Amino acid sequence: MTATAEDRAAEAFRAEVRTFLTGALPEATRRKVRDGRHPEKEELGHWQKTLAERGWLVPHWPKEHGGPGWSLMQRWIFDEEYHGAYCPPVHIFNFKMLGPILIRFGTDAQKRQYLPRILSSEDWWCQGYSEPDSGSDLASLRARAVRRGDRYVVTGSKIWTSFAHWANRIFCLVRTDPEAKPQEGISFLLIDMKSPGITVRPIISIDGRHHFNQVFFEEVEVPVENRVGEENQGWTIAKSLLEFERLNASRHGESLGRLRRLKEIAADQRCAGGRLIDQDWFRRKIAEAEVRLMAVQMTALRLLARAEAGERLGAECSMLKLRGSQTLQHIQDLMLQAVGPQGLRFEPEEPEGSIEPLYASAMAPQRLFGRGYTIAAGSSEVQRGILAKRVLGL
Amino acid sequence: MIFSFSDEQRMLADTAQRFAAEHGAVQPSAGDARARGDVAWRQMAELGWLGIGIPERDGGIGGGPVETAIVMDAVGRSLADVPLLSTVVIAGATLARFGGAAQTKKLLPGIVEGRTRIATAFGDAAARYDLFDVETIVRRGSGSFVLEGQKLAVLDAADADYLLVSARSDTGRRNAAELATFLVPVTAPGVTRDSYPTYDGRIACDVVLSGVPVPEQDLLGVSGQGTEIVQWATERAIAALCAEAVGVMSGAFDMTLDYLKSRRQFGRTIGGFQALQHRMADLFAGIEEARSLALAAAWALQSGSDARRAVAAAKIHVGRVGRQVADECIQMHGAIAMTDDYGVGRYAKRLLAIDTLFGDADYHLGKFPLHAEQANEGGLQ
Repeated sequence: MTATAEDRAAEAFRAEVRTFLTGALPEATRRKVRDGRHPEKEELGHWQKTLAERGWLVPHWPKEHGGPGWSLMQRWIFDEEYHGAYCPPVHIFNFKMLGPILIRFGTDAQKRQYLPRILSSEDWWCQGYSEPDSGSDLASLRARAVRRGDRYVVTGSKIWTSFAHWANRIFCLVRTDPEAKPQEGISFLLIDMKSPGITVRPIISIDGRHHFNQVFFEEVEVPVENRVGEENQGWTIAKSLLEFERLNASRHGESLGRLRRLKEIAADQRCAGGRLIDQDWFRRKIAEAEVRLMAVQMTALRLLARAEAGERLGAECSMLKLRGSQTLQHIQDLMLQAVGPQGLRFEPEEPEGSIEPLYASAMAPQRLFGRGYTIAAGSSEVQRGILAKRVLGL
Repeated sequence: MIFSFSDEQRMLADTAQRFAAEHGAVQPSAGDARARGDVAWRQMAELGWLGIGIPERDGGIGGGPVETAIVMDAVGRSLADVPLLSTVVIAGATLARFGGAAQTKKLLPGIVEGRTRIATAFGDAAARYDLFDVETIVRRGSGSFVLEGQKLAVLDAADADYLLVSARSDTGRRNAAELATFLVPVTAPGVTRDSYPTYDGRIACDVVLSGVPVPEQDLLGVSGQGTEIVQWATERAIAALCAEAVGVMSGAFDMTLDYLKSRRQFGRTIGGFQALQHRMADLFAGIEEARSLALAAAWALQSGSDARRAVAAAKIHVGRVGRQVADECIQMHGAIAMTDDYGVGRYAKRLLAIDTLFGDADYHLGKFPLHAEQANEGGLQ
């Protein structure tokens, strides 16, 4: 079967993307991501600027706001190549959350004020959604925003706030009407992290790193113009993001990148006088993981084809999040198994002064942090509930 | 008969339960694990636990793998960072069984009283899990042996006084060789320890032995007995480790059960959701099976029968179920379990680490059919 013009164009695009990414990504950053470590803020900012200069920072934004105008298929290819080249995930709160929200729901003034600063990485945003008593049941959130003249006064606490310690701004879901049904009394506010009354408490994770925080708001004043959308429209706005990110919930690009690294590691590890990857029992484990990933990947591709045909995707996309996150975790577990006793050594950050860091000491932190993939952004339990209720009608 | 505990064993279990409650693993602030470990070690010495598996005539309290299993359950539940496995279960019992009079007299009192710590350095840097794949070499120097090699991820070595080291003679072929075991003071010339934290909050060392002179009297056992010693010690270590893992699983499970009974979302306690109830029931059954296999391994060792099959089965099941318990207990807690100071994560990390010690589940699965062929056709002893 000969390649169609479409196939050839896709291959040419893939090659162009690969060439750029492998050439532009700094080796130090590549090494970190390759081994499941995380770049520093400055490092990530530098990379984001590199992507922005190429016009590839926000592949999913509309062209008039800085997107490259790619098809869904091109975005798919870019995602696979991106993780295959061990590029670090961009700061999602800027580019995959607030940006798209402002584009859809922001006023012209808000777009003018915030979108350029998001694109330039001048602003680092974090997300104030979850609370100690509102996790899966997010709608029950209690952080209160009381309207006083031309401002809201916010009191409450948000938790699991990733990178609040990097952020100069936070977007929050807050309760503006305690009398209404929970989902109908929530507003979406943009808050300056330097506002008086905000404190940030670091939370160290089981991987030994500082990702999360708890953020406390004590009578924090927020101008009304910092509200996105109408008052009490916040829940609708937050939910719209779920639709926006449906296909990406599979994380299959990341899984492909991790699978590639798993094979490299297994080829490097010794076992029974040979390479680990040549041991039949381990080869089979890799094969099973690869088949699982193909299952997720092809399911996402089927859904993509329907989306390209103009169909609006629905609740069945929950299976991408459900199975995709589990598959990524499974591959991370195989990576820890692969390094055997070498994996006991614990080095979540790159050891000082090393030219070629030992990958083994990063596998446990990677696997431990990965347990969060089935918890965050709609836990597996929530996804199963959505499939059961909204797809199967149970 | 198997699984019938004597009165003394029951009393030991009660004491162990109290110990675990007192040294509870999940204090709100993790504090200094090392300091807490020292406190636990001293109390274990007072309780006589450091004499388990060592005959009374040598200053111990007797008992064997079953008593060890009872105590290791408490170690697991409390996540106590103590060198019990290496110093007492391996070194102490091995010395009592294979050591010469001078060796036992020199070392056993210190072990039993908690003054002496011995780390087990069997795993070579070049090998994966195969403790008989040894590149560390012993050759004859003038008037002593000389050790050359590298040992990987030696637990409890940072604070140890001695290392129990395995090596093969330099005329032997790798894998097929006879091994020899030695007691090497950490202060011996040529011993270097590269210490590092492990992901389950302990300290391990990569040990380099560079022309280390070992006097004749520090050879453990007679010439050619090293392989038997490594096998004997390893079986007991694995059985003990499985018992510890069951304690860790129980700790994680109990925490999760409490959480499910108290955490409220969507206007109700989440333990009311049938999906979670079923998963907890599955975990419960899995943990009980792991407990059964761990105890069966201990009983097989204590009765002197061929325990290889029982030990391997315990390690395999503990590896599989342990992973499941670790991941499920985190998942059912949600985000709170992702924080380092909420204890369920520490249980989870210990379970993952235990699978890596003395061969993971896949390693033992690979060897399992071999044991089955050689086992008594009459089933478990």
